[in-house]
Amino acid sequence: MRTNYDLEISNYSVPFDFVDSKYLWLDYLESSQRSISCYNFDSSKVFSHEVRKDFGHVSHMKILPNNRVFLVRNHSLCEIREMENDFKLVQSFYNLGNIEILAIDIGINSTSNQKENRNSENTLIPVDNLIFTLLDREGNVNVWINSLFTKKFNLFEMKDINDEFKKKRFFNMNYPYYIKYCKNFFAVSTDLGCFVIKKI
Amino acid sequence: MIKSTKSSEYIFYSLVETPYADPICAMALNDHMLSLGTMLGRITVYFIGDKRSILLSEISAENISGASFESDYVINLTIGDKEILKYEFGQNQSGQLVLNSHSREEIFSTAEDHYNKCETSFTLIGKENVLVIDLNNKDLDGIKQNISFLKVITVYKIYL
Repeated sequence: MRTNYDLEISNYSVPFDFVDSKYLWLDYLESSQRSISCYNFDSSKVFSHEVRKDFGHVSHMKILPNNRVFLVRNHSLCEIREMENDFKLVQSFYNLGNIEILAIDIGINSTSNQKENRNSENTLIPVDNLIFTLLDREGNVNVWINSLFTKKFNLFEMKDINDEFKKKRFFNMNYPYYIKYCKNFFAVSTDLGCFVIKKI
Repeated sequence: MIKSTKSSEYIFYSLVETPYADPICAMALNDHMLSLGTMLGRITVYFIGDKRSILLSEISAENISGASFESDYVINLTIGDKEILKYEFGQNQSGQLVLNSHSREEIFSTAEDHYNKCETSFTLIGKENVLVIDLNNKDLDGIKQNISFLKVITVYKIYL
């Protein structure tokens, strides 16, 4: 089954996220201005907020529950904003060492009582119950949870990693890279393939 | 507050290799498996429990534009804007995860429709839906350079 919707976008737009009920994208407008927009398929409403050039480069954006968005500005500044109230800033933090963030993953903290997927709009999931996993250009994997930043590991310094791998560069091809986190496993895409890392 | 965890608490478990210059462009992970899709359309599933991977497709008609788990053992993948693949896994008598069935659904109703829209459409995949965005829907000719022009696009939301 399929449903058609009509959306208004600019000629130069960048898709960022889609979570079943919402689609998030960025439009390039005139005079170096850009617009961050989110369409809600359930209510047929669009949130749109214009940002100026001094807002900086936006490299990552993800839809969060409770009508919020997570974004990465200027390569390492992470922000959680409301998609209402003039794009109100809820929380912000820099990646450890201000190193460029290559990939992000957002999940629900399994130690909390929340079992819902981040897609769910019907449950109020506090930001503190979300896990933000960040992969940076130097191979660090950092996790931000409940306002606490933890450096988990560096891909080049992992226990049991083959010395041959350590000599290679993982992020030299400037591909888009991905990181996924599920319970005791991380999966990280690199130029060589996908590393699977286990917590012991 | 910043806390540091020793790297030794995390061990290298496996590397699922991909061919040189064929970047991973779709990835999904759950408790049981990891699914990878590449720009050239290679689809690999890695079973975490027994450190075993299977190649579901060496190459596809288009890049793998998204991967998403519908449930623990069912994964949906989008092949560019062409089709949606569904793979269902189950356990064999030895307890190993194996591919039980797979199905495919064309995104556009005819090959001609896909051919006409392939350049200007793309897909995004969610847990329950695939979003098909057709950028070249209306009034584009002659105004492509005007970046502020707002146009109406059609979005198809396909229920998986």
